[in-house]
Amino acid sequence: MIEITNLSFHYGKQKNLFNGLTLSEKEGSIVGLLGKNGAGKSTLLKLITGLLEAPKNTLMVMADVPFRRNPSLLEEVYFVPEEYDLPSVKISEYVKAYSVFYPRFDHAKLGRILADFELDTNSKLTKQSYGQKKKFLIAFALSTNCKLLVLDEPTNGLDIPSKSIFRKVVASSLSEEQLVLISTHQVKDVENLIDKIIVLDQGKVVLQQSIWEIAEKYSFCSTTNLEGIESLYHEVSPGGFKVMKPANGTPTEVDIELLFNAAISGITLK
Amino acid sequence: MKTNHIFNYKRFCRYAKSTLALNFKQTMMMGGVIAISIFIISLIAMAQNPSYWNKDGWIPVFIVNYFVVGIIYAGFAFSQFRSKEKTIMSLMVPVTTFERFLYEFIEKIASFILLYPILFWVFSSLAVFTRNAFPSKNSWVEVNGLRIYPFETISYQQPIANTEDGLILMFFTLSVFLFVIAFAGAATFRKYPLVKTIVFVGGVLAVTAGYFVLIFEKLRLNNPWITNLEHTMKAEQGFLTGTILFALMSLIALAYAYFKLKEKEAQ
Repeated sequence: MIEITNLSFHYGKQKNLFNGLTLSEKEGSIVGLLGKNGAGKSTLLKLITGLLEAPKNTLMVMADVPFRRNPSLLEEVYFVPEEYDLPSVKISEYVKAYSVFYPRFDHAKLGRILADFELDTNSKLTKQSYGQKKKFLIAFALSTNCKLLVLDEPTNGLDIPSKSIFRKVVASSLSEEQLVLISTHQVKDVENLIDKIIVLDQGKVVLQQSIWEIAEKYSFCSTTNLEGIESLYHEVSPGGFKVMKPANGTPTEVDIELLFNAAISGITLK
Repeated sequence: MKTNHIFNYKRFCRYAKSTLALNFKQTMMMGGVIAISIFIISLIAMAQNPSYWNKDGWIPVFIVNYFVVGIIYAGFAFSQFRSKEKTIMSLMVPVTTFERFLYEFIEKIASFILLYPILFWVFSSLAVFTRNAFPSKNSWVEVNGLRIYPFETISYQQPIANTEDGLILMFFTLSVFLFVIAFAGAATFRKYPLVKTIVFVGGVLAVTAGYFVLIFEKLRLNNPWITNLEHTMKAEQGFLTGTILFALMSLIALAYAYFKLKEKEAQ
């Protein structure tokens, strides 16, 4: 669905944000795009959605060049940006105006998700808080049934109950034909939701693996003493250390935060 | 390339309908401001020149208001690109650049040109009724001992019939050209598009005028073909030349605006 080959990109006269970035993603996954501040997560999402122009022959989405902004592609791509500006209309009016552009828009699904998020369709969008607006956009995005959903920091501004509802609705609203790309620096918010991780660092993809592959290769544990432990990466934590080590046969839950820190610390993770 | 990737009538109608629905209040407010400005300016013009309003006193008001309001209104085109957040939301709507462009052109230029004469007639007439409802010393003239109120509803028939052939068409294409320049500026600049466009166009005009002053007045490079132009060229030919020139420049400015829109990024 997404094919990125040797992508280099920079803003104006600034230095390259990506240097020969290569990435491929197929449908049927929820992918977490992780990276430090300024790593280029949002820029990559904008390139994928055609909001920025990628150099020629470096980026294809569903066999189309996103920057051409062909309606046939845009009907299948929905982007929830980190910052947004919604018109001064009721939720129901917004839905009426924009749902018509998405051929598989599911009004019943929207109703269910809005109910889960406790949003009133008669309320005005401009009178909602930042978090409520974000919840509405997430609900709308999921209801479009677009093949590619791109969510930039979707949990920013969401309260704690809403974050768990977010995980629930995303996990329960998707089909195998869809690909969800979630960019976040709050890795805890997407734990148990994503099934694949991409880590961006210094303009390159330093890790691109599924959670199952990671669980097969590495194990994660906490210990008070590092002696005798074959540690690939460790961090000091309250009461001891968090350790990432080669798997020993017993699968453990993937500590995404530790994995992310390991990936950007320069360790080569195969 | 498939034509569906350039224009699809159904999709365009959907886009027009949704954009109108979401921007209904703003559009109505702009219409209201235009209507009120016509009403107030008409009242002021009637107060300053009481005896000629419905003869030809209204014409300068009509023309100045038409150009000023039309340029400002066209400068409000592509308002969705004034901020990065709005740009993102707008560019993700599944319509083509041409459909987006056409909608803005219809809303900000074509509909103004079509509706302005109607709005002007309605609200200047309202100003006439208001003025006549409150007669004052200078709101009437005496003809053969009778007091006559000179303020009557305007009519477009007389000036159209009395104007030289081709002048109205040239005037029309000039207005389209000026509106299109403001429109192209709105497609190009993100912040303060109208101000930047006026500064830019002013700069171009100043350089052009300076160039002609230099070659004709300072260097005296007058060619008899040019100096005799006013004697050899008939008025109709002049109007036709102007019309073609403005139409061509409008097309160039429109093409520029279209490509600016096509290259729009959310940075």
